Amino acid sequence: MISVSKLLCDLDAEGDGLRYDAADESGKPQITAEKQRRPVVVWNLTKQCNLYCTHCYASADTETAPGELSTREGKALLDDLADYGAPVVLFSGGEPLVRDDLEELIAYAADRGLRPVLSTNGTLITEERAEALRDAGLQYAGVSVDGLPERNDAFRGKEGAFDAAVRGIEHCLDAGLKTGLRYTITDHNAADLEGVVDLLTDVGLDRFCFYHLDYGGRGTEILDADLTPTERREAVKRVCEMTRAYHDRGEEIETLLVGNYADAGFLVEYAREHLGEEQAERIHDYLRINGGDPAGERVANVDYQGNVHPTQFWQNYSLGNVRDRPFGAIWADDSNPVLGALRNRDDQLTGKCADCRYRSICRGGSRLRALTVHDDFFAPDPQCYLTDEEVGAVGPDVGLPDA
Amino acid sequence: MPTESSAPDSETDVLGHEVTAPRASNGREWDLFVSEDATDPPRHAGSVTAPSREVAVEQAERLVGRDAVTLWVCPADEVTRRTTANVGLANR
Repeated sequence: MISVSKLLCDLDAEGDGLRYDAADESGKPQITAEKQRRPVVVWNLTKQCNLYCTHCYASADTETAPGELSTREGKALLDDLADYGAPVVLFSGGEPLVRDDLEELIAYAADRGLRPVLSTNGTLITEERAEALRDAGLQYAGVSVDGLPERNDAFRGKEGAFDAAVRGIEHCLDAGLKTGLRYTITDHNAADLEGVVDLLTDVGLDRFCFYHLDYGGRGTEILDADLTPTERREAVKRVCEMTRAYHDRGEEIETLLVGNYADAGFLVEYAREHLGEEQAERIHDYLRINGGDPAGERVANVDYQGNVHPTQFWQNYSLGNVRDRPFGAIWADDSNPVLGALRNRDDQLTGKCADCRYRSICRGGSRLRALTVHDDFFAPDPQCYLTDEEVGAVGPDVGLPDA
Repeated sequence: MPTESSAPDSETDVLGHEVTAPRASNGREWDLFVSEDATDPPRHAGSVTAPSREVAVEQAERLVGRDAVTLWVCPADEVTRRTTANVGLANR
């Protein structure tokens, strides 16, 4: 997770603690923190959802799947996470609000010293539910919207989903909950990006997270809707330009990019061109501490059946199950070949990543996407959009991946 | 509704707790075991969700087979998971 507003506009917002490094807890100056040592844990409470989104990484369904962790088991999991020192638990789904014990689990997490945050489609958040979530100790609600009304509703499989999500956002804001947008950028909705931000800024939102498509769950079925490298570069540049324009007129929105660490290299290049060498160096230092792609290290996932995954997008491979072993024992097991590869990947990356000047702030990006497209754990992330000149590549075997 | 794991019969049970909850709903789950040296026993290396043994083997080779000299791919629904009472998640 890369804060564009922090790096380009020096906005040190409170955030949700989900930026995968302890720097988020620091005050200014920003380049002071140590690398985060324990993972943010995404817990998919349920597979059930009231919507059916085209790109859902969890392959959520309208029906409940068998084997969900019970309330009692969920509290035991939260004990495990607290004992292991996880800083944040992100309650996700499916749609977590379909579980009527959500507030009970959030309150339990807060009591155990975990920072509880929420990922939701927002459509089930009533005035009463928003107040209950706040009273339980929820620290942040990220509401997914993927385009202006018509496009969002088509993407989410339900007419009226956009309006219902906006009502949910309003209820959260009225209850005093820190609330933000989650927006997955694809070919279908890239054009709506600024329009959605303008519209939701008017509603009162001031935090916007833009996700790159990851190739998990139903996301693998819409690879043809993913952006080309050229389109991706343009979309990220527009996020940068939009953020600076808002700040220039005194509206301090917070913007973040999630899921593609080519963005780190791009931001350094962008800063060098628009803000000067000194600022570019400062941003590079911050991103180096941030540590690049967090899979298998600074982010972890537990699904609704208790399976532990290297990230929430990597649902078809499980490291183990919390019903068999405590989370901390599974996560600390460096003998696992996948964890070992993720944690010691730097010198094994191939192609344009091998000699990339931004390797330390990117770490090759998504290994899941590399596996999906190239069938190779250490191949370049197919979403990398940095040019040969930017990565400092030489020789005939490097270059942009096919669009 | 979420399911509870079966409760232990008594606290003195030896391996008396059986974990019956499923681990997949999008396909079949396959437990992986690998060893990286011919003298070592295969060690549990996670599991993959796959519709068939062939696909499971393919996924396993890509994920955990790089340095392996032995790879076992076992259908998880044929594995009985038994623990002592205090190891089960709800009883820790």
